[in-house]
Amino acid sequence: MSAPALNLRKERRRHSGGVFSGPLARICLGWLAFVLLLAVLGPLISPFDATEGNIVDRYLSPGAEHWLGTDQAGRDLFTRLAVGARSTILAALAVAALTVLIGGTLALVAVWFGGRVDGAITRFLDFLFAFPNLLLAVLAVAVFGAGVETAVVALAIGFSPYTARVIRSVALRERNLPYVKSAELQGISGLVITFRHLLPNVKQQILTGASINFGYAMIDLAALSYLGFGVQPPDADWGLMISSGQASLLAGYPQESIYAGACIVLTVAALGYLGEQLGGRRAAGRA
Amino acid sequence: MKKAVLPTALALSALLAITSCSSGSGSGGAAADGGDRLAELAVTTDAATGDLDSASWNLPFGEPASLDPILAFNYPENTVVANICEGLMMIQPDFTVTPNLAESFETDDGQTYVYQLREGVTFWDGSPMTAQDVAYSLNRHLDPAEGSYWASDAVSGNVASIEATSESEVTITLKNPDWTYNSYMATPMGVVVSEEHRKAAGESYGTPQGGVMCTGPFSVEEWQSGQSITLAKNENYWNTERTPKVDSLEIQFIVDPAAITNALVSGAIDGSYDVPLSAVSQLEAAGNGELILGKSLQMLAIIATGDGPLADPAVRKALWTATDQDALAATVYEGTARPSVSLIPDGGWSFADDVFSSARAELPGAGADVEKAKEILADATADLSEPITIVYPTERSFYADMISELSRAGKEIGLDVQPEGVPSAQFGAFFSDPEARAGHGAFVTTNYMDVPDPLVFLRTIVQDGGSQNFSGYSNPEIEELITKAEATASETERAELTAEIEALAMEDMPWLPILDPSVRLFMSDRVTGVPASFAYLYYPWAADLGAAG
Repeated sequence: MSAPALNLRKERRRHSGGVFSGPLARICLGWLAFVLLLAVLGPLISPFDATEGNIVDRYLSPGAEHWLGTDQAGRDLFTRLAVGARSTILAALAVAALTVLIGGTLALVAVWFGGRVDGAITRFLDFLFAFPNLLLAVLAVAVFGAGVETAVVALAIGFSPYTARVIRSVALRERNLPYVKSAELQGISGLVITFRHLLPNVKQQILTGASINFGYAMIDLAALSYLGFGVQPPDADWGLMISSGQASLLAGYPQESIYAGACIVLTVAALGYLGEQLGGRRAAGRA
Repeated sequence: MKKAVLPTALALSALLAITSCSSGSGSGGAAADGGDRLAELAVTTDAATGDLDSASWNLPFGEPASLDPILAFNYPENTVVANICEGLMMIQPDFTVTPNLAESFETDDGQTYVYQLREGVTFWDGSPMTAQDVAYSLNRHLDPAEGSYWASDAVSGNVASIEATSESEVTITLKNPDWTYNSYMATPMGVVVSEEHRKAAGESYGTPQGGVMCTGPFSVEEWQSGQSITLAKNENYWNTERTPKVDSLEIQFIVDPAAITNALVSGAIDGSYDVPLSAVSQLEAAGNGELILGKSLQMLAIIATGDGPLADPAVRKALWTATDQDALAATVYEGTARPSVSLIPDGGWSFADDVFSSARAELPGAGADVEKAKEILADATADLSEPITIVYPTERSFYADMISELSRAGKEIGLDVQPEGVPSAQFGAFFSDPEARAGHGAFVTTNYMDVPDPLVFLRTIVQDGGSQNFSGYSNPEIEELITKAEATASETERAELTAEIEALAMEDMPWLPILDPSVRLFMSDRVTGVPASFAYLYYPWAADLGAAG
């Protein structure tokens, strides 16, 4: 391995360590690791089913059998929180990934072809900007029916303009650099140049935007489930748990709503903080 | 952001720790004394001792869509219309039916009913109520252009003619004898409105703009859409024994359980019928008022649609037998309901009590009997691997808890019962649109008797073409008994025939009766007097409201 390559790797390591160093970053990372463990291992170690309970066991206090107690239907709250973590994280991940796919594709196509194509795509993105994400999702649910799949696709479409705009601005700068012109003159196809050269150079912005979008997606998905448009009962989901815990809150048993609410707040805060450290809000286009 | 994250995390962690330690086991909860509280359900409350300038009430089911009596077919509309418009007959708090705008009625054959009208009754504007107004009002249910929600084949479809036969007499002739018909004159089917006002109001009739013109103890002073309806005392009310004690009553439409509870506990609202289940424990502990459990005509049930495994009577009966109704009554209903054993709500009659009570006592209960349920299920012919979906309105989370118990019971005997939530706006279609029901096994209902006559209620469920026969259920034996009962003049004999229908219906169980809820009435210490029973839907409850102590 050559000396410049070694130096580059050291530089990257130093840079990465700088981003996630500090007590707050470690707390955030620790919390996210805990949530991931909860999602992966929680349902495996729990002897209970997240959707089944016995009504006579409702509102049990935390104890050896039910670590976090039970909800109004007698279901184990730890199991529901763990299974809810799975559905919440997977759905938010799907929104973030789809957003990158849709937004990134639109941005790179606009940048590469420029001119009218760029103009048309930019106008289309402006049009999408006019719709609040939640409104778009509620409209989609009204047309295609309630469910997490509909909510994920609708939110991804709603988030895409933000990601597309950021990627477009960075990719546009790269597009006009001499090495891209040089590659074009050598006869390399646009697709290859885009994937081999443009994409790696906007990777940082994509990752930063995706991490922040992940947090926003988690909030919006929770809001949709809370309103009854996302994950449907009796399945477990953090947003849905806040909603179904409302009646218990009034009856003097606030655990369910507080557990789920705290999980959402802490996870979104941790993701937001780490996303900021990674690249700053500006990269996600939400300054 | 950097400054906000850590304190937030610490605060929430502390909160988590606190809540983990704070609450005790609630499995018993408010239900512990449920049996005692339900032993003697209230019919009335303490009589008012004085007048009030104003009072406030709440409609927990939301704002009425219209105040036109022929469109009053649900909780919000009926709770208001009962105070402003009156019928020829009236349901009293103890469920007896007595003459009201009619001074008396006569029938010799159950086919021709002659009503003698009360003299001196006027509408709010001072114009006299005439026999023509009465005939016109009753005929509105027969006119498809008016769109009465009360029109049905069994009742209005059986009417041959309604005529003013003198200045103070109206005669109703039926196509076939029906001795239960008179009780309908205590519902909006017997309500009288001013013909002149109805015709003048046109399309806006019953709306905040068009209003109504009736004879009741209160008139509509103001209807602020989305806010409240204010009723004003009718100073010229004909019945001096029921002169309102409140000059002005503001009726609000708060539907959020937490907001209702806060409004009642803080005294912002004086009272409400059917307070939210989730608020029961808080209202029982409230220091400013009392939660009263009243005699009801309601029933919580699962209605089979005729699709899926629940189309099989053996599956329906097996699922019902395995369900722990006691647990549901004690937990989800906080001890304010009783397990149901019949398709007739407990106590839903005003005559032949001995016949109905002893017939009910002979019916088997569900009792969470898994072994018996498995035996019943052995006779099923349906494909039991198919899931049974039970639809409920998502806004009412207690239904989800109830279906959760049915899912547990179903699993015990090998049935896959799944809840399916739909928004309330969509849920209403399950009662009117067969296409909305298609593909779903069942849906939930908190149903109620229009009149305290078991035959009238049962035939809506089990009669061929009954208004609530959603699964196309048909039993020739029941059809024969219904026809015979309708033509039977003796109340005792009619009750005996009805009890036979009840037993046959419970064999096939087109609906799964789950619980008989009581009326949950909360009143602040400032007011009293209203009936505690379910009569409030058709009885002018606000006329009895007044100052307490």
